[in-house]
Amino acid sequence: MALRRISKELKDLERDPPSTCSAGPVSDDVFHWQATIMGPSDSPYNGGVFFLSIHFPTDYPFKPPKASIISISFTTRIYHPNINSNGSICLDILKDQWSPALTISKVLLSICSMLTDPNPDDPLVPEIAHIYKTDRETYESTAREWTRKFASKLSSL
Amino acid sequence: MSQSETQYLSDIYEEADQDNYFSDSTEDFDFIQSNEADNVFSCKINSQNLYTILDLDSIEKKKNNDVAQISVLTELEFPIAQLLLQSFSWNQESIFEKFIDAPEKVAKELGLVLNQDNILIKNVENFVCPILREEGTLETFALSCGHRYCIGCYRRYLVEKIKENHICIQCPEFNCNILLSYKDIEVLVDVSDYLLYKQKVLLDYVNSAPSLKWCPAPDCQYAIECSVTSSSLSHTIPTIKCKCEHSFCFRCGKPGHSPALCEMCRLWDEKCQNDSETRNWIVSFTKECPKCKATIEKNGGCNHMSCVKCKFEFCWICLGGWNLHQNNYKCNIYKKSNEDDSAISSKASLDRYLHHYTRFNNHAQSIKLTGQLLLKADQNISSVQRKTSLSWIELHFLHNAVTTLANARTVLQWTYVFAFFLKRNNNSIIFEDNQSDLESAVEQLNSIIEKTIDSESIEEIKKTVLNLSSYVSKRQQVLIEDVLSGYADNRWEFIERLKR
Repeated sequence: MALRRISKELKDLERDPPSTCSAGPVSDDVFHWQATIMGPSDSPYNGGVFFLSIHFPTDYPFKPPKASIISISFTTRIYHPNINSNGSICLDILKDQWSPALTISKVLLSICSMLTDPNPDDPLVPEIAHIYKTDRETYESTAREWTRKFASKLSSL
Repeated sequence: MSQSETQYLSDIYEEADQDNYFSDSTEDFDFIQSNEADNVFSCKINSQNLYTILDLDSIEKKKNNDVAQISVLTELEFPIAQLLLQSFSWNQESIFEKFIDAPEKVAKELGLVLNQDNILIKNVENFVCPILREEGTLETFALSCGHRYCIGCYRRYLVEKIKENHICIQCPEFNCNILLSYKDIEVLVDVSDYLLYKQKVLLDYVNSAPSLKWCPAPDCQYAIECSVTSSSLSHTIPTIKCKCEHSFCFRCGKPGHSPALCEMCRLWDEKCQNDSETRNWIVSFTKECPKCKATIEKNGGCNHMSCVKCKFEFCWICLGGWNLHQNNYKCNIYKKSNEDDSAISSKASLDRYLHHYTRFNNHAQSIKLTGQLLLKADQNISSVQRKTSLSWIELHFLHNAVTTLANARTVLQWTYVFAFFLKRNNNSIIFEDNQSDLESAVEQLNSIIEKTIDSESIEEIKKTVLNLSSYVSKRQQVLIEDVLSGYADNRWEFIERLKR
C-alpha cells in the first residue's frame, strides 16, 4: 500500500519537479530516499546545498516520514535553531502535525521555508535560538559562515 | 435522578430517534430506564466520605448523563455535545465560561461543525484519493469541510489515531481542524476499532474528572468515584476497597495506608530508600534464638516463636521471652535507653527508625503470608468436616478471621509509620495503648488460626475466634478513629514538619 503511494509521489516529482529541491530513492530500496535542498536566496543559507536522508515507514502515509540532514563530509553542519548537530530536524509536520494528505515535496518545501523563517520558540538547539532572538546579525553571519564552510558546492569538491 | 429530569431526557431521546442519523443511538440513552443502583457499590470511608465503585457501563452512563446535560443546555445534537465536552476535557464549567457566550467563534476554533450534513458517504466516479492515490469509482467520505478521501484510507487514518490515544480526531487534510464525532467514526471503522475508541473516550473521561480514578490494580476495569473536599485533606485518608479486592488510597493511589497520612507515607518511603542498607539487613529473614542462638527463619505469620531446638518461647520482634507478652503485650512501645543522650543521638535516631521499621516490616511480611494462613484454615476446615457433620458454611468463619487479620495487620503496619513521626506525649501514650491492644489481639487470633484444630473442641474454638475477630475489628476501628480525630483537632505533635 505504502509502495504504491511512494511510487506515485516519485512520478509526480519527476513530472513536476520543485525548483529548489529534488528527491529520489538512494538505490533499489524505495523506502529510503535522498533529497537535495538549495539554501533559499532570502536566507543566510543562500548558496548552500543540503542533503537529506528520508526514510518512509511501512505504514506511510499514515505515519510521517523520517527526514534528517546528512553529512557528506565528516564536518557538514548547519547552523539553525531547529536542526541539531546530528542533522535531526524539529518540524511539526514531521511529528504531531503530520497529515496523510501531505507529500514529500510539501515536506521539502516546508523545510526550505523553515530555513528562511526559523521557529526559535520551539528550538532543538536553544543556544542558537537565543542568539537568533537577541542578536540577529551574529546569527546570520554565523549561519552564512557555516554554509560557506560546510555546504557550498566548492567546498564539497 | 428526579422524575421530571428523567421525563425531560426521554423527550430528547424521542426527538433524537426521529432523526435518521441517530437511528441506532438508543444505547446511549439506556441509562434513563435502567436502575443505576445495579452496578454501583456505595461504601463508606473513614465514616466521613462516601465512594462509589463504577463499572464500565456505569461510567458510560455517567458520561452520557453529562453529555445529555450539555446537549440540553447548548441545544447541540448529542454527538456534537460530546465532542464539545471532549474538546474542553469534560469540564462543564469552562464550557459555560467560554462557549455559551460565543458559540460560533469557539466552535470554529475547535473545529466543531454545529450543524452537520447528513450525507457524508458518497460514491464518486473517477476519484483519485489524495492519500494512497487509488483511482476509479470509489466510496468516499468527507466532513463538512469537503476534504474527500476514500473510505479505506479514512479507516486506516482513524485506526492509527485511535491507537495513538487521540479522541479528538481532525480531518486528515493538512491544517484542517474539523473534528470527527463518534458517529462519524462509528460509520467508518470496524466494530472492534470503534469499541477501542469508546474505551479511549472513557479512559479520557475518568482521567479528566477529579472525582474519578481508575483502580490501580493491574487489569482492573473499575473506576472509583469519590469526592474528597480539600478542607478534609489534612485529616482523612480516603481508603478505597475496590470490587476487585484491591485496597488503595484515593489521593495518592498507593495501597491503603490508613491511619498514616499520604505525606507520612511519602517521607517514610524516602526514608526507607535512603536507609536501604539497614533495610536490607532487616529484610533478611533470619534471626537467632535468644537462648540457644540457633538460626531461625520465620515462615508463619505469628510472632509467638518456639525454638525447635531448645523449646524456648519468645517474641519474634523483641526477642524477649513470650511470658512477658502473654497478658500484657508491650512490644510496640519504643523504650528510650538511659545512656547519655548527646553522645548517642545519631544512634538513637537510627534505633528509633529501626524500631518502627522492624515492626512495620514484620506486619508486611505477615500479610504476605496470608495465603499460607488461608491454606492452613482450609486444611482445618476439611479435617473437621471429615470428623463432624458441620457444613462448609458453618466453618467459613476461619476464612473470615484470616481476612480480618490481614486487614488489621495492614492498619497496624501503617500505625508504625504514624508512630515514627509522632512525638511522645500523653496523647501518644493513649495511641500506643490502643495500638498495643490491637496488636496483642491480632497475635492471639493468628496463633489460634495457625494451630491444628481439634474437631472435638470446634464449637469452643469457633466461639473464641468469632469473639476475637469482632474484638479485632472493633479495636481497629477505634484505633483509626482516634488517629483521624486527632488529625482533625490537632491533637498530635510530629517530629518532622509534615506538609499539610
